[in-house]
This record gives sequence, structure tokens and C-alpha cells, in this order.
Amino acid sequence: MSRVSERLEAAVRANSDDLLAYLERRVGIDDAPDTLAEVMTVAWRRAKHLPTLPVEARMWLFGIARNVVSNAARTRIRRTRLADRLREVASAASMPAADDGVEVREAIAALDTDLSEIVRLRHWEGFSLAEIASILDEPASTVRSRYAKARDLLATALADAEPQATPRLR
Amino acid sequence: MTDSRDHELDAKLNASVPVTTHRTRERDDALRAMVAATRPKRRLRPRMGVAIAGGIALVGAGGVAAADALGWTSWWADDAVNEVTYTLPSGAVCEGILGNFRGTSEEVEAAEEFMAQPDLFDSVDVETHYADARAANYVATLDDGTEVDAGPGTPYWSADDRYADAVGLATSVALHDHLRDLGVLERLSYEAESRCPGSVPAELRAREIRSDW
Repeated sequence: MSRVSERLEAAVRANSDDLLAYLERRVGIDDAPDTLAEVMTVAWRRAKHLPTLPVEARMWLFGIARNVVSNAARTRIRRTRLADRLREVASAASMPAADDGVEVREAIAALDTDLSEIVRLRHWEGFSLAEIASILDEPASTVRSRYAKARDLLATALADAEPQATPRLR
Repeated sequence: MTDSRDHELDAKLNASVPVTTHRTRERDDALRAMVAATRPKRRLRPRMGVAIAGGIALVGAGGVAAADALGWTSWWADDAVNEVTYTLPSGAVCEGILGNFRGTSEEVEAAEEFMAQPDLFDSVDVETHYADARAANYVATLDDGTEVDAGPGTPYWSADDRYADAVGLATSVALHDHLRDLGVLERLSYEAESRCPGSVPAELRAREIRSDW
């Protein structure tokens, strides 16, 4: 195996769990395995662009995942046998729990796409703003200002959505 | 926003993360299997005597970049099996994509696997084909019907164009050799699109250039 192949395989193995979680959050638990197979296929296709440093390779893989998710919105990802086994065991391992974050997720989804993705990457995936800039291939200053704008909008939207305190009558 | 409202918002956003599946040994195994299955497999083959039987040249070498500097124009570009890079004699760097493989399912599968290798050009003997190109005879027919030499050193010769042709031919020959070794070569075809910004064309154009390459 060539050095780039070795590095890419190591990067994919090291990040496959996080990539699967990212995709489960974006496209749902059922479609995530096929989307992950597509992400891996694209990564191999673009192997020569793999950054040398592992941390940069991680951002590169998430950048690919993000693009695949964006494309999946336009063209449905094909179901592949490659993903069947993962779908089977992953579904068995899922724990759909009582979920009280629906309102917040709806507020995030109501933002413009270039704002909502930053919020999700920051709060759902735990990336720093500098890392998000790398994944989105945007200047860090742009990401910072969009994040600040997104927070303001979310704060307003969520405050508006909160039930108003009713004055207690005595 | 006050600090307390900041913290409150952070907490809400962090807590809004959708549920995901959790790790199990079976899921880890399935993920590892997927990594292995999606990795292009390289099949080494014994080096054979090269029989050039008319390859499928890279199309558009040197010209596609001007047509569309923002993205590939081929309809199959999103499903290309590989992206390749190579350097022309002038130093210009070409990028190309390979895709739209057609043929029997066996040969398409084998061809895509071969062409998807990250180090594809390790299996491709471009220099021999370029040496063949340089050694061939070229005759240009001008607009008035005159025939003149169009080989290396003449204004009708572009080393960059011929090198790009050699890359396309060498790739095609290597692929066909590989499929022949596997016994699956029948009627394969595929397409390539390339862009070579900064490549140096021939100084003069002729009505037609013939060669025995």
C-alpha cells in the first residue's frame, strides 16, 4: 500500500465513528450508513488531496462529509449492500430517547444554511470555530461573525418561544 | 447578551444534539468492514509486452480549462472514480477525472477498481509512450495543401499536447493490459476530462496533422 493509502486508511478508521455520528445527526440513523459509504468512496477518490497532519485530515474528511450531505439533499444517496451490515447493527444499537431538543433544533433549522451548519458543527460535533472554518473552507473571521449572528438570532427566537410568565393574582 | 443568557443558550444548543446510535463491538466491526470495502484494491500484475491497440485518449487535454474554470463539465463528474494530476513538459499541471465506465459488469468493476487507485500512475508507463510520440513521424497539411514536417522542433509541435496524449494512451494501455490479464476485457469504454491551465500549444496550426504514432 502506498503512503497516501496508508495515511488515508488510518484517518478513515480513526474518524469513522465520529463521521457516522455526524451523518446520523444530519441525514438520520437509517440513511447514515449509505452516506458514510459515499463519504469513504469520495475520500479514496480524492486521496491525493489528503492533508499530511492527522488533525487536518480529520477536517478534510468532515469537509467531504458535509459536501456529500449537501449533495444528498439534491440527489438521493443510493442504498448499497456495503451499508446493509452497518445499518443492521447500528439500528440495533440506537436508543431513541425522549427528546426535549426539538424546539431548539427547529430554531437552528430555521436559520440560513450558512449559519445553521456552523451552529451544528460547534454544538453537536464539538468543533472549534477555527476547525469549522477549515471544514467549511471559509475564512475564520467569516465563521466567527456568522456564529455571532446565529447566536443572536437563536437567542431571540428561543426567548420568543418561551412561555411568558403569568402574573400571579392574589 | 449577558453571561448567564450566554450560558443558558450554550446549554440549550448543546442539549439539542439529536440521538445517535451508540458504539458496540458489532458496529465497530461493521465500520471496519466498510472502510476495507470502500478502499480501492490494487491488483499487481506482471509487466507484459505492450501492445498498443488504440487506446482511449484523455479528451480535451489543454482545452477544457478555458471552457469551464469552475467545475468539470462531464455529466458523470460527480461519480468519477478518480482524480489524477500530472505535469507537462512546460511545467503546467493538468488535473483530470476518469469515469463513465461502460461494458460488462465484470470489466466495469475491475476497471473502476484499477482506475481508482490513489497511485494509479505508478502502474502507467507514460514516459515510454511519450518517447514513442517523440520518435514518430508527423506531417502537417497546410491550408494550401502543402505538406511539411510537424515533428519536435517545428512550430506545429506541442510537447505539452503530445505528453497529455501520451498520458491518456498509457493509462488506457495499462488498464486494458490489466483487464486482459484478468480475462475480463470485452468491450470496455470510459471517459476522461482534463484541464491543463498554462499548457503551451503549438505555435502554428495546420489543416491536418498525420502521424505514424
